[in-house]
Amino acid sequence: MSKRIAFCGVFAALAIVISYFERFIPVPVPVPGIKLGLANVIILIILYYLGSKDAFGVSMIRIFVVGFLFSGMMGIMYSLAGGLLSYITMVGAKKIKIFSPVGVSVVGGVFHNVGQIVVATWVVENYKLLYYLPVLIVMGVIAGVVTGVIAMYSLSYLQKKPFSAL
Amino acid sequence: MLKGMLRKTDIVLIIFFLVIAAGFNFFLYSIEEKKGGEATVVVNIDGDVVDTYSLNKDGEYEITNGHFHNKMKIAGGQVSMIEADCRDQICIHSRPIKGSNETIVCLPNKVVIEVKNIENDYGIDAISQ
Repeated sequence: MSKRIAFCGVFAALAIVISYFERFIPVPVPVPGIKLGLANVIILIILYYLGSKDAFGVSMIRIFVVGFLFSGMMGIMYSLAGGLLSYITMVGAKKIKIFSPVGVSVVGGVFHNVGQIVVATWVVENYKLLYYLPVLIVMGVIAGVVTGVIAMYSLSYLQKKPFSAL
Repeated sequence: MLKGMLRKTDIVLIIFFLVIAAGFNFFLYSIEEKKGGEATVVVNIDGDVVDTYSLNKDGEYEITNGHFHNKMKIAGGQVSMIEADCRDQICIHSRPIKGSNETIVCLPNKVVIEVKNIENDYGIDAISQ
């Protein structure tokens, strides 16, 4: 049990660091609400390696710590919308067992962006923000494939050398 | 590299999302407002229209409500955001807009700049407010 908590702690820390450094990677299309979502690599790894409860915990820790440290209350609201929607859809996509982790990651990437733009549309009260939805979906697919592939490589390594007694 | 990682269902899923995106894009631009009227730059703060300018008159304009400061530039029939005191600076890097239904958004300051063809649009009410 304590090993499990330590594992989650290390991975939460990783997710937070990734979220921080991600902002220095320029996104080719400047669109409000767009993010690479590299921290999703961590959430995916935990989702497959430990399970959905731990993935939820680490996801929430990441959102609130990153929010309070770097982006403030509004930032937390956007990430919470994106994070929750992508978490729920990823757990659902994993459960039906027809997708690989890459497919699950694509679902997460797309719905993360959808969640953020919907909240943004509601905040600025201007439906024209929904014009960004197509490009956000495409970017979500691309980001989802990238994070999914990274997560699968990491998972194959973890499963070769599993943490004993986890 | 992707071989052995992607299942057929993953490919179907990716194609599904791309089709949805394309379809949504098509839908949005098919309901685009008619051309005609005067191309007008409409500035919204927090959901309210605060200013309107002609797209054909060059100039630089402050956008502020006291809590933040943005500046936009209209030049050559295009609008761009040239200053913003927000953290992410996405609006500064946004492409200049000129057509109907294009927007520049500064999310932290809740500023939305849009171009509308006034007269064919209920936006005229916004102006008279």
